[in-house]
Amino acid sequence: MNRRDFLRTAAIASFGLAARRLLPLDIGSGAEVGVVRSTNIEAAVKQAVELVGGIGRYVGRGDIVSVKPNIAFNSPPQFKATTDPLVVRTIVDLCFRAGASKVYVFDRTVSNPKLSYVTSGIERAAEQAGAKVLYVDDVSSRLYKQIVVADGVYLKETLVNKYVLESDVFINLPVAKQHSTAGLTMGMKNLMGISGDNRSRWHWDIHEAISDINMAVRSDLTVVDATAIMTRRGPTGGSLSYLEDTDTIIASSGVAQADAEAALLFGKKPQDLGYLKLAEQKGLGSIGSYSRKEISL
Amino acid sequence: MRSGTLKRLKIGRIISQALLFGLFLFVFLRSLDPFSVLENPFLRFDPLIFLTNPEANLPVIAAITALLILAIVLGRVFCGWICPLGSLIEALDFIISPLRERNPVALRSYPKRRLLVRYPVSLLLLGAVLVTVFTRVPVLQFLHPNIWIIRIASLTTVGLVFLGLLLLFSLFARRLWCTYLCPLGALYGLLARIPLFRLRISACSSCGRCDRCPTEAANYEEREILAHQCLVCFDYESKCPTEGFRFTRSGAGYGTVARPAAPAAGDSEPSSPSRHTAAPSSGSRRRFLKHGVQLIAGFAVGGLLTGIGTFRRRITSLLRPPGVVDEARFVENCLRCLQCVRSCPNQIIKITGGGYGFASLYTPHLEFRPYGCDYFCQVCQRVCPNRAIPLQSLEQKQSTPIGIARIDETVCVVYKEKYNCLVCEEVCPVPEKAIRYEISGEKSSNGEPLREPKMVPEACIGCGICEAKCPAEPVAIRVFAE
Repeated sequence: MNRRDFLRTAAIASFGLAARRLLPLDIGSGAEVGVVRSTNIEAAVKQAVELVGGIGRYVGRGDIVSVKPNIAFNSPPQFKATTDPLVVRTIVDLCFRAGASKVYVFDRTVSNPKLSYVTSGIERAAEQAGAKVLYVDDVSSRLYKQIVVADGVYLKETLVNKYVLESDVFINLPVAKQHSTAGLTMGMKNLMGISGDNRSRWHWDIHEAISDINMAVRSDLTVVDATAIMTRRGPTGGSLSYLEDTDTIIASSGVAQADAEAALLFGKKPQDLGYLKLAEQKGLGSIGSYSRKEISL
Repeated sequence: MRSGTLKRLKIGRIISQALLFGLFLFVFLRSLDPFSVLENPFLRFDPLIFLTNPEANLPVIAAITALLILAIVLGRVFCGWICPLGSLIEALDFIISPLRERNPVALRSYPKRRLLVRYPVSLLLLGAVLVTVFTRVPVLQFLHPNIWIIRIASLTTVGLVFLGLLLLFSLFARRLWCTYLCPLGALYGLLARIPLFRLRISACSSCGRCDRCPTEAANYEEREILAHQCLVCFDYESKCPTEGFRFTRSGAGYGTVARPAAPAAGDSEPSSPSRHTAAPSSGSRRRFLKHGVQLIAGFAVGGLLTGIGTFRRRITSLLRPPGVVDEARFVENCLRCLQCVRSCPNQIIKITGGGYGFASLYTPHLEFRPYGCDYFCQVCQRVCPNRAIPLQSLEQKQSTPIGIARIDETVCVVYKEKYNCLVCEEVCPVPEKAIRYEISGEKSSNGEPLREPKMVPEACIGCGICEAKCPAEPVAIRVFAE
């Protein structure tokens, strides 16, 4: 990059930043929740993001983006215990198209990180799209930072991944699954993977813990992989018979609204999920009434 | 043989050692990456290791036969050209040899070494190994060079101690381990006594330059080369001023030359038949008898070790790597090479120290923190050189129990604190879940119906992921050997 290029880039970047500050975020025609039904995952992801204002509403030129799929288990992608690699690839690709300077993809896995990242297909998909894949199993001060959870009920303080805290945009990419303690695991519960705590203990008061962490760290954009939902024996599954093909991608600027929409696919009322009810009470927006757009491709 | 040919053979041998040691390192490094593990050919294709578990290793019998034929036809080529431990000893000799030169008690000259030449312990050890490999007492496991090189490469404490020992040996003689101790070398040495192609001294000018043979195979005083000790390394043969070394086919045992020959000049090869003697010397016959006694004494030692080993054997309650169903058989078969310990991506395979009896010493056992035994992982099965950990299909591996998990309700926070925890149920990888929950009718600490975890013992495979992830302290769910 020569000096002139640098100056031009800097000028554009600062203008872009200024514009983002000056203009309200919901300037576009985006709804709060976008639902796309399609068997074409790539098109569905793109369309869903489009329905909630387009990627440009979330990612600006030069932004550093953290993308957090669910890579919890060492499980082949067909069992849907992890986010579909194609969803990850499409989102990373969209980020770069919107001008992101760096995209990081990571999860704090339950199984061995290396095994999970490779078997799930996410490492390869993310790297193909140009993202940097991080292993964050080592809970050290290099990777994690203690934050205070304002008004936290269960979590007063928690260790949070520095990449989440220090990036400009945080994109939450869950997969929708049954989970006996939480009821369902989608976008809000996916944030367990940004913490460096002994999160097994969070299960002891899981609804408070999940709503607390989502109050402390907001997902700028949530895209739920509900192409096939795991209805039983989650969150590990391991059998195709536990899956129901729902061919749905849900995008939302509000994580609670994304989860509320995904809960309906399981035939559950959002109000019946403890952490969603708490999210509404704590101020993450209504889980009953929100603007939504739905299309089928 | 001409000096040039001999020099080229020496260079060829060094290249072979470097390439094969490189291959060993390559395979070893690959064994550390769960997605690219390779079987280690140096352990997989080994006649003595084969004997530890023959029925599970029949496919490798062709390669082993080839190695044995190689030894019969050309002598201890394995030791000189292939063996990674031998190559390591050679490489380290660049550092050790100056120290050995200064060591006043080094076995520098033949008379000092005579005791070891007469009574090479390796034959005794080979005898003990051959007996114990059939009586299934772990003796080979602590004497095999290819097993030691894995322990060294894995940077285990025992491996490094052994490496230190090798360095100490090298202070006394360049290839002390290979010449006098190694039972695998002794086995190839036995086969090398069958005289097919052998290096012989056909002419000699008494210069004594061959007296620097690293294995004491060139017996300068008697002008003969001891085939069972010769590693066919061509280290010094090209220095012979008479070009008196010949690689010949003969049924005549050790070829000897009675009187020194004059140095040959130019191209003329001093190969007049009068310098050959066809009959084996009385020295070689005496040696043959002595070595036979050594081997038989080794058999007796093996018998003794069998007695001790059998007497001390006991079945432990240790959890073994996945696929192992017969604890007694596993302890007999396991090479204790610690390759599985090194390769396990979850690092849950640990070395068994003292406290579980000699029979279990250095065998692998499982301690599940922090990940448990992964449901889709078979790395230990794939790296085990002699299939002591059986190589199963994925479906078999996923349904063969390592042990069985039990919930301690006096510790579990669901029962004790009424927390709706269920982490164990959540992480159970068995598709039908070996841990399920029952609604107890009580209320949990956060006001929901309390869900109590219950084992489904027939579904449990003892993978220990529940134990690894249990947040209670002490851990409320543990896997026990059945």
